[in-house]
Amino acid sequence: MEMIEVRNLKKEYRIAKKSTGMMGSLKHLIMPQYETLEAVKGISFRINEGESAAFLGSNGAGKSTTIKMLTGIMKPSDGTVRIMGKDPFLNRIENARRIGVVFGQKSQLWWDIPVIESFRLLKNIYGIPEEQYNRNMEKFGEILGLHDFLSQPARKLSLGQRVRADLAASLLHEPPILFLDEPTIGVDVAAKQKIYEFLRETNREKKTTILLTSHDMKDLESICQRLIILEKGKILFDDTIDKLLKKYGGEMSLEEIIIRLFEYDVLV
Amino acid sequence: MKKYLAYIRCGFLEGCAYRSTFITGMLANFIQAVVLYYVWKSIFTYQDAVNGYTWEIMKQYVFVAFLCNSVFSMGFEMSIAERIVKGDIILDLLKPLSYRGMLFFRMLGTAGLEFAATFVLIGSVYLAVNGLRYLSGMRTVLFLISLFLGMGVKFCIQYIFSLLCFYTDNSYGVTKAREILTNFFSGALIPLAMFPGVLRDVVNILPFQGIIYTPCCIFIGTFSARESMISILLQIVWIAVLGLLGTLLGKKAFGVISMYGG
Ligand SMILES: Nc1ncnc2c1ncn2[C@@H]1O[C@H](COP(=O)(O)OP(=O)(O)OP(=O)(O)O)[C@@H](O)[C@H]1O
Ligand SMILES: [Mg+2]
Repeated sequence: MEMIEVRNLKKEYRIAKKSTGMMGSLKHLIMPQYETLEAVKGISFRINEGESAAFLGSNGAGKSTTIKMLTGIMKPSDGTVRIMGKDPFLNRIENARRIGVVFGQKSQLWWDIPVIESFRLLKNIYGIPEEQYNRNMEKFGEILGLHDFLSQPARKLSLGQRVRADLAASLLHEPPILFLDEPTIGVDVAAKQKIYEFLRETNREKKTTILLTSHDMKDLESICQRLIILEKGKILFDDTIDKLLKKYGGEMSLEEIIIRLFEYDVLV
Repeated sequence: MKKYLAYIRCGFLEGCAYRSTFITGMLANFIQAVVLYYVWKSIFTYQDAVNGYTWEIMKQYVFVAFLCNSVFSMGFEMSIAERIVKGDIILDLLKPLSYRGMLFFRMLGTAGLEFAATFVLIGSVYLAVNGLRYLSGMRTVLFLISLFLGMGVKFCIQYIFSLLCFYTDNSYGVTKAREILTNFFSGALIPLAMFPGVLRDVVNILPFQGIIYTPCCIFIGTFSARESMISILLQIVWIAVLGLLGTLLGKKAFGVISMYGG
């Protein structure tokens, strides 16, 4: 079954054209000028049930922008998105039930109250049965080492701890689709290894569809079979990692190919 | 429904986490109420009645109005604006819930604590000043209904103003404008009956009176039973109208909003 279908998707941001300094700000106040920035320039792809795909691209390539449109929180400028056959922006609430999302830079944990309360809230929001909740809390607690800080408010967690808790939070309701935007920021090597294993297992056993972005090649290689390279809002490559290595690699590793790509702007 | 109720708990816990801000805020408000009490007292030493309001009525009004004003007193426009600018609103929208519903119950949890504390504090002051002689069971029940509906009106207004923050960078201005409007036209400072002619008519066709003036008059008894019923009905109508307006505005606002960060 097709879980994610994207056709000719575009996003234009309107950004203020400001010259620097006080005078610039003043001028903008009186006569605001805007220009459009095309962050995503008409991309298309499909992802089937049980696939695990990765977005790869340099900073500002449009990865997060695409994920925001796929999760239904931002309206595309043009083109269509279908998540399990439905438009995620028009069916935001229904869509939200079927996806799990991690934005590594952001936290859905409540800043001032114990982490466990955030989890309890999620249990109620998604109507997670008691048995499933306990089972998952037990399992995630083990794999992600949550037990040490569940009673702490989120503001007291270290970066890696917070990210781990956020990952658990996004998986609690066992969504069929996972969107992970840099889910391993600040996570130590040992914990990363466990996360990889866990995500692979979820992908295999529950047929969970995963779409991930990361700047860590290890993440991509460990979790995903398929690679979508996005540069300047366009898709440059969309196939398995093995194919990329065969086609362009020769003796090079994935990392070396990508460095070349980012430097010379083409796959050579 | 259960999912929304869960937000009351988190809102409450969050309110508790901020108890020091909340205590100082309440003290400041309390001082304001006391000052207002003495200002009115001095006015009434020169005058027996202002537009039918006597000191007897006024010394109830001051405290009841204060109590009504203390629910949802903080307003959430600023916090929403901050969540937009930081991009944290993304996380709210990723939940399978109505955004407005979530806000309402979260505020209810936070306000619960504030309201309970104010209720005890102001209730005792009210009793110390006025004693039991003005109280009526029937009116108190209607008052509580009207107070709750007033909260609804206030919430709808705050929601609409917070949607304006989607369009402007100046959330502080938006919040202040809303605060001044609600404080003045709701009867928080001056009973609306004291407003001069035209202004009185204007106030009558605005929704703000439902926030404070309506519940206050019901409690004090300046509204007859019939008037009370009509006013309560009017509050319900306003909630429906403002709610619809919020829904329509929201549809537009969520389409233009920029999701920052990532
Ligand atoms: N809310 C916004 N308003 C205006 N421009 C934006 C906004 N969000 C992103 N952009 C611009 O759109 C482009 C794509 O940004 P995006 O966040 O999608 O990149 P990314 O691929 O996730 O990069 P990174 O790897 O650094 O996270 C960038 O040039 C960025 O400056
Ligand atoms: Mg990004």
